[in-house]
Amino acid sequence: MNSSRHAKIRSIAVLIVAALILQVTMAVQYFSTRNAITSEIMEMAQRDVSTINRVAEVKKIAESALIQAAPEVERLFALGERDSLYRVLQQIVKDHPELVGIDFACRVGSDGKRDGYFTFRNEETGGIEDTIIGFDYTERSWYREGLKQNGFWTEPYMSHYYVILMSTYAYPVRNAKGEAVAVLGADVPMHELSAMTVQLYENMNHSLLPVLGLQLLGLLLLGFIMYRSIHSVRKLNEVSAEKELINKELDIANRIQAAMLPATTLITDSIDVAGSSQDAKDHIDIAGSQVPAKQVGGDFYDFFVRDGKLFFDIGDVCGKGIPAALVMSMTQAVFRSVAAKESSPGRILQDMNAVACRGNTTGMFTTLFVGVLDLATGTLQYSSAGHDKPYVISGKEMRQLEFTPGLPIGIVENQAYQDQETRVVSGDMLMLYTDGLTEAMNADKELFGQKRIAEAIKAQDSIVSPKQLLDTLSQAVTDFVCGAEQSDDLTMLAILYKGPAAGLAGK
Amino acid sequence: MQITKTTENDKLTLALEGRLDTLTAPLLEAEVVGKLDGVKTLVFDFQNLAYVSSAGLRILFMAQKVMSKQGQMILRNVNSDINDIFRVTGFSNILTIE
Repeated sequence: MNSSRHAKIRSIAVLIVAALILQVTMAVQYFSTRNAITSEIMEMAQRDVSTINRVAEVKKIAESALIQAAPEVERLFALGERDSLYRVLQQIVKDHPELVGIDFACRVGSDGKRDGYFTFRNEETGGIEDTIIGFDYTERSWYREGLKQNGFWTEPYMSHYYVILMSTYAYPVRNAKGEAVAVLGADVPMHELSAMTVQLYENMNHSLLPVLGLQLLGLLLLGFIMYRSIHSVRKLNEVSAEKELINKELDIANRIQAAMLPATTLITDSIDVAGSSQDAKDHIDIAGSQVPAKQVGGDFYDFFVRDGKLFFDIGDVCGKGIPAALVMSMTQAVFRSVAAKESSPGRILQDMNAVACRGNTTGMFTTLFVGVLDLATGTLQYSSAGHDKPYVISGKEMRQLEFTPGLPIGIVENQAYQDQETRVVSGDMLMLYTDGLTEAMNADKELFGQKRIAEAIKAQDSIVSPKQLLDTLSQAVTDFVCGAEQSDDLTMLAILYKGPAAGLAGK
Repeated sequence: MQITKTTENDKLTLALEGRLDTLTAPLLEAEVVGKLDGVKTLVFDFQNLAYVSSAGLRILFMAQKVMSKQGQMILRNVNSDINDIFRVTGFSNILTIE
């Protein structure tokens, strides 16, 4: 009852917890991503502002450096004092660490003769050096625009020499007439901007790490859940395969059990146990029936003739399944061996009880009714170990065999069982059954009960054969349960006493 | 079948509801076998129990065996049908029915 409900509750709980963890993961991921992006945007905005500020600052430094130096450069250029002019340029570079170097490029006339000079800081030594501009600077924007405009910043470009982003401030050098005769160019590296870009990527990686970690955790969780569900499905398959095997074995056990019950036709063909048994069919007619429930049960009956007496028993081992079947088969064998020598039903039960109690740690017990019918006289001795009272049907009359109830066998050692005695007359029918008959249950949970046994029998005009009696009761039970599943074995044994046969009477 | 457990010091009360038969006996077995350590008085309340089959008798018998050694076992509010079962099977001789 509880185990399946527990399993259900547990699996639902696991699902809920998993869903919660996933939700939490997602929420954390969402907030951390949002926080990361927000702080990133703020940082970037601040960085942008500071970059702009810094760039503006550097720009101002470059501009003022050139503008301040321009009059002196113009004067020295007009005088043709190149060495002094270069020294001025060197001084500017030296004084302004923000600058990489200064270009000085003379306007190229129609003769195409270039005259350019570059003063720069040696990165390794820190010293100021200069060199002639080797390349064709006339194509460069700082030169072209520098001549035309009164101060011009180039777009940032990649410096081939320094392999960094560079921007150049170009400022014209004019002659007395105000014509631009040369261009001064202050090269400003964009070190910081380059560095910032790299840093931005680093920061992004940094804030991505926890998010990636969480995603990994979520994936692991999903993987775990999938592993568990696959595992349980596989287990379920294994269990159902095992169940199938057990069912097959139970089916075999059922058939073996059915085979252990005596075939009632034997009584007419081949009873030659002892003495007068070849004529047993003249005295008795027997029918037994067993309708097993879904599970292997522990119902059984047996009979045989010895010394002119019919020994019979009917029993019910408590519970079902293999344990009940094992006890049942043992009890069958013990009945045969005990009743082969012992003729008192009470003592037969006593001996059987002693065997059943020996080492009984499982609490299995068996209700049992044992009868011994003297075929010649109709004297019936019987004893019951907790079993239901059989009926004796005499025409339209029916009565139950009375007895002092004894405990089922297998419970109390040294239990005494009393012999009871009655007489049956020609035409009397004994009807033995297990509680599968009285406790057959319909859909309304009503039990068949003894009342309905009597009703079913009385509804018949006459009962002439044991088989007719069993068919009548079987039909009554079938009608009563009306399709409800049979929960217990339905076992019945009917014995018709035909009376002392003429041939036997004298023996 | 429903089983309601009530523990009062060393007294354990099991109230059964429904049918104690082949299908439900294992449920009671799980509550009783190996679970009676320290119990001095075991009470079965059959107020709402309709039926006891042989499989159920077996569990009662096993509980009785344990309780005979360590205390007492009492059956209460047993209806007449179940009482008949106890009587016919002789169980009324080994059980204490109030």
